[in-house]
Amino acid sequence: MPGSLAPRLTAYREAAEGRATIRQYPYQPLPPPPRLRGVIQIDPEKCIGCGACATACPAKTLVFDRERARLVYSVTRCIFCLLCVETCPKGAITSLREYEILVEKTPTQVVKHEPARCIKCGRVYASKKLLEEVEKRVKRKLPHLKTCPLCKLEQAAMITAMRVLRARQAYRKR
Amino acid sequence: MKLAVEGLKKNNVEYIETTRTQLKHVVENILSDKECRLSTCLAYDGRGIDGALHVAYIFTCHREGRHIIVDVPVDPATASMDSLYPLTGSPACTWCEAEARDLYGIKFRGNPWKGRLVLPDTWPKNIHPMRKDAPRGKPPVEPEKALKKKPRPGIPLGPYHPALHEPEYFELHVIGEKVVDVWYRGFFVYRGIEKLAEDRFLYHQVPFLAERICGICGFVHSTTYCMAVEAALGIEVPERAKYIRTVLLELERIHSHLLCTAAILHTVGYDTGFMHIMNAREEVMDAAEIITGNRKTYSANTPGGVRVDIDESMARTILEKAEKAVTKGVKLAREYAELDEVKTRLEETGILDRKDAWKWGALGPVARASGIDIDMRRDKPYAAYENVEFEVPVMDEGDSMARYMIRLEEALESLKILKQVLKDLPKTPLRAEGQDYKPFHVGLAASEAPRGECLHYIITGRGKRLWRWKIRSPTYNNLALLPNLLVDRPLADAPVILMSIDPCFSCTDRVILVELDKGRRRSVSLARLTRP
Repeated sequence: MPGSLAPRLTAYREAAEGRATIRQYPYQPLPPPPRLRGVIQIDPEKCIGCGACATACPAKTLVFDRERARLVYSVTRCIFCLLCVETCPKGAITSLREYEILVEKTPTQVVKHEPARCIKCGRVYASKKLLEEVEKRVKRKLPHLKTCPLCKLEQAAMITAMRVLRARQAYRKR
Repeated sequence: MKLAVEGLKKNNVEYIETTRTQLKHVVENILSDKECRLSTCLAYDGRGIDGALHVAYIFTCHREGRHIIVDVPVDPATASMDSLYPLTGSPACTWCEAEARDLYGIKFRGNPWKGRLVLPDTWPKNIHPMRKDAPRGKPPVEPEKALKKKPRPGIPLGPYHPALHEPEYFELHVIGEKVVDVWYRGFFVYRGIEKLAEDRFLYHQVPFLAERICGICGFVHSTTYCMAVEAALGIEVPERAKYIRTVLLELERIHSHLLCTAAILHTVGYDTGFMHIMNAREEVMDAAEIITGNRKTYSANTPGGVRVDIDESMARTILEKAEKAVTKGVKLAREYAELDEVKTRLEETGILDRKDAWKWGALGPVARASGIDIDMRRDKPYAAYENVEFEVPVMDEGDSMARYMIRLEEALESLKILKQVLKDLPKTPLRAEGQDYKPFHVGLAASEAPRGECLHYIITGRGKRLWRWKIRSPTYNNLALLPNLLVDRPLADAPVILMSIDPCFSCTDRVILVELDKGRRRSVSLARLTRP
């Protein structure tokens, strides 16, 4: 085959010059690129338990359990989009330079918060840190933060009903 | 309530609302322009909007870069209308109508497709999964019923390995060494991505899902989706974001084309060439990794902009790497094509002439290798393509060799685009600020994926969720050509021809097709495939 001699020589040359692409992997770990989107880490000190990251997460790998006031991150479902890092208002989430998640025990992070109980029904509805943060931002005490959204709704309904009743009584008296 | 279509006009999309009786005249009018052809059709459940089911036909006029959407309401009580197949004669029409029938329960009179297309044969008749009121839970499949069907004799190719490692099933009927009939069944990985996005995802989370449609050209899908949202909501994308999108799109095109040429060499048995071209391709993957942190699945898109930035030193490195990959990859691929064992396998196999290519709806490199001069980047510029100069290579041979060579030419053009784009990135912010989400707006976007024109059609819905998301990937149309190309060829050529189309089954299989030649229509049951 004289016609295809030249490309054959090229192939040999290429084989001799080509770079080695195989590493002795576990002993010689791959250096991750500078912009690697790796496993995330939540700083429990900075986290206030607002649940914004859980709302943003497309894969629902970050879940905020409102009834126990805890944030759970299970790495197996994570798609490493880092929307949570972008969303977090306190900058509590960072991306680690860690990409090996196929390990025997997959790391799950749980951030436990001190639960805030509703003063009316006693249900847990948020973390105490979140309520403190809200009060700190508006720079005054907010007593209505101490009731859960459901009780607040009930309260609002009661107030409205009372107003209607009073208005009716006033009308009748006239 | 009516759908808002203002966003479409700016995008050179015509929106025509018509009735079932008028549809025929409207479509005749559109098709009288020889540059226009039916791209796809879709159905959506408009019962929550105006009380009717809808079918929308999408036409593409390639040279003008114009799209036409013809929207027809269908009465949900009878749920039937006339098929457009007799009028258009395009196989894409039978499939998309059969898809609409399976998923929405709309009957098309005159559509030759009688069996199941998208759903398994054992799916109950009265459940249409894409309707908004479809029951949730486990899919109702009765396996006993499926086992009753007798298998057909034939040479099975797949579902595990015809040429590439994706699930599809070809049944080649042969006389001696010659293929006389081909029967294709895809759709083993139908996961209902469209339904998933409509139900569970917020509109700004969908790009991450769109990116996972395809493992090779995922960024095209997320970009096209974002463009559709931007068109619907009237978001102006900053220039810099457009340029960065262009960079990533072109890097993706280069690595996709090098992968395809390498895979063709692998299919003809020249694995040395495969290794060397894949080695050259690594440089492009590295470049993408530098920008986004990942070799693939960039997660760089968001409606209204991009999430990553490119600085000057980075731009230089990327360009160096891309140049190295393209010059080396193309040089090697061209030389290896001279080898006798490669040349004889590729030349004059699977010839597709211009007329057939147009009729069967060929797109992208497959169409361009058959002499059809279409390219969405030039015809309807998106991202930063209107600011760069490039040529669209066209070849007339139409054989596997032409499809191999045209990808190399395109990789060189991509490098040219990269050079121009990376030279001066405009200094604007990366994202458009202050988007407001408006329900029931329609958006359509088209882009040139490495495999051809990719279409995304969206209707926004309540609560920042999509009402309807339709994806038409290029392989949907290109795969339709295959039976045509395989018939009357030796059996040994089948994998090469298949590979020269560069099919991407997973992105097609969200919509599925079954292809059958010579008027025979049969469908295989799920149970049959799982049987040893």
